[in-house]
Amino acid sequence: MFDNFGPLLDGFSQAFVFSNLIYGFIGTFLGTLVGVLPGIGPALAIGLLLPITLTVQPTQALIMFAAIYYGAMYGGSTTSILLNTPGESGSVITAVEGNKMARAGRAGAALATAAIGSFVAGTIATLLLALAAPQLAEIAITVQPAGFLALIITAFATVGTLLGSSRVRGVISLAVGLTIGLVGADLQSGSLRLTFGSSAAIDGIETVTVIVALFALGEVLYLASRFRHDSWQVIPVDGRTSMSKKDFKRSWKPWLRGTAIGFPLGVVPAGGSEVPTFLSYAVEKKLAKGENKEEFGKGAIEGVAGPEAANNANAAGALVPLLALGLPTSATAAVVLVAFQSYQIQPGPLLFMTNAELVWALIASLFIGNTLLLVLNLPFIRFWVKLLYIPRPYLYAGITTFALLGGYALNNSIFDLQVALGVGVIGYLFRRFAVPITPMVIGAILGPLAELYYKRALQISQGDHSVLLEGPLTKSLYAFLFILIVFPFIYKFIKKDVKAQA
Amino acid sequence: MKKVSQAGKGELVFAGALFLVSLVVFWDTHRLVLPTNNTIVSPRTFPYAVATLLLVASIGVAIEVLRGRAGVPEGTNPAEPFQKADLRTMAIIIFSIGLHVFLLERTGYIISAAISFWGVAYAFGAKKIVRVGAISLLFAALVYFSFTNLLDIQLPQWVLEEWISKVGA
Repeated sequence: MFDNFGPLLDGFSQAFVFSNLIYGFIGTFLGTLVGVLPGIGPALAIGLLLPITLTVQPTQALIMFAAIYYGAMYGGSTTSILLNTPGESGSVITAVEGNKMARAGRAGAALATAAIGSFVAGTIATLLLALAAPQLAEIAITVQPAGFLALIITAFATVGTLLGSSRVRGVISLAVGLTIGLVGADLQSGSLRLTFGSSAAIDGIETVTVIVALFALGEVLYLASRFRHDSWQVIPVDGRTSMSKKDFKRSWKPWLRGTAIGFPLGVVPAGGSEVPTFLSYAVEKKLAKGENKEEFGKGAIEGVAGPEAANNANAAGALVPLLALGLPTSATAAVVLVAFQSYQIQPGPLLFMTNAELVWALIASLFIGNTLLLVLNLPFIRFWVKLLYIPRPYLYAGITTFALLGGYALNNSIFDLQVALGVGVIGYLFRRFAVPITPMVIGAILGPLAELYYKRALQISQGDHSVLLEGPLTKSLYAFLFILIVFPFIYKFIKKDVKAQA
Repeated sequence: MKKVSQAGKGELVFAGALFLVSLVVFWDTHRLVLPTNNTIVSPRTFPYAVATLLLVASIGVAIEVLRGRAGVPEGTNPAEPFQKADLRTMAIIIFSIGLHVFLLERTGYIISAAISFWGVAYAFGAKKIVRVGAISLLFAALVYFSFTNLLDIQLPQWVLEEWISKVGA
């Protein structure tokens, strides 16, 4: 277990070079800056800032990138506490109690518990990541293509059915994503699929364009559609952004519990931070006693501390399957995967052998970025809050401009922009009809990979389909899936039965 | 069968459109030119599976709606009567983005980005048209020069940019 610490220390020595710290600082700044802007969640923030990281060396890009990652998440919690318009699903729960605290004049304490909780959770979770990812990678090297296919299908099923208001809407989102992933030349045979004679489409559809358009243009269009009905109000931060002794006493256990819930649910494909933050909230509400319990629904600090920690730990947990298996399990992890690929790094079991130095530099940077955030942001919170006062017309115009720039700059391609406009409209329709977005992103990225593993598995077996069920991993994954899909039906059936008897 | 609400009708159209998309995928896969060399897995297998999933899911969504369970968007109260989408604001934005896509490699970045910025700001209720125009142009120029000069990311150039860089030099 402890043989990981040597390489980790090497990673630190790389990251601690002065010029690299500067990149960490810039990343923290930009990540928070973009993350604070209403309507921009971590996935979009990273997507928008991707072009900036492309011009520096891979190690520095990774350091900047790690800082952006945590910065964007920190910024998102600030927005949801002060504005009650969470930019991403992980902050929805934070907004519930956080915004009520802010309204009651306790914005400072809410922001502080969110920041310190994120730091505590981020540090513990990154440590767990450093321990778990190499172990998992070692096991993963032995996994056959059929096993990878089973893992991907499990991710599809959990992401598709756990998110959103109804399972069929999650599945349709996944199917649309898979369809987008089909476009272009088939990797193996070269057959052109869904290109309709366009030569630009042969290379397939750029994933970053899809993500940026879905989250930015889709959101802007959705806000536009409700323009005359919505209004918002920024709650000013009075007093100091710090916590009293009592706040601390009430926060530290939720931080640790949130970390314990968030990290494992990030490692398994549970579809992002929605489930763990909600779980953490439910746990805190249940465990609270006396007058603290009374405060739930009116601004209880536990309801901010727990979910915020869960959110951050979850994000670090999602990096475990991403680094060790090359499988993203949330929209944010999907963007991280694309970012890695643009630095010519392919996450997966071999990564720890081929690019060990880079990985450890990244993990060390995650620690540093996390610490920089705490040091830089709490004192400067008033500066970040000012960003919330940008007039809405300019804010949305700016988001649109950067989304279009991000969509174009990656390949200098007008085709990408046309795709962006189309995907933006799809993003609007999804929001309008309560279809979750994440399954579509996961489908678009993992769809081609699923096909690849399917083909490889059958090539090894010379076309014998029984290979798909070989081995304990595939068998247990499909058994798990079977339970996941069938159980809710049985549950419904029993509930009806009980009702009928009553 | 419950009465389908106004919002539900919209969602039926949405499900119908995705149903059509699945048919297009079926058709496109069917007419696929197969490679001459013999592959173990046909390039048709996976698209057929995806098209089937899309087909089934779109029918599933339609059934949900017909049973009276239309999608309720996040942040809205299901009890409230359905609010009609603000089509005018949306149309201006889509048009602005379309114009940006059309103009980008014809007029260069600064002009096309300024126009789309201006359009979106106007759609979201910015009133002082001239002032907004000036801010748009300034913003686009700022983005253009910081990306091309500081970050070495090339964006389409045109006379205006050439002229400004000459003045700057």
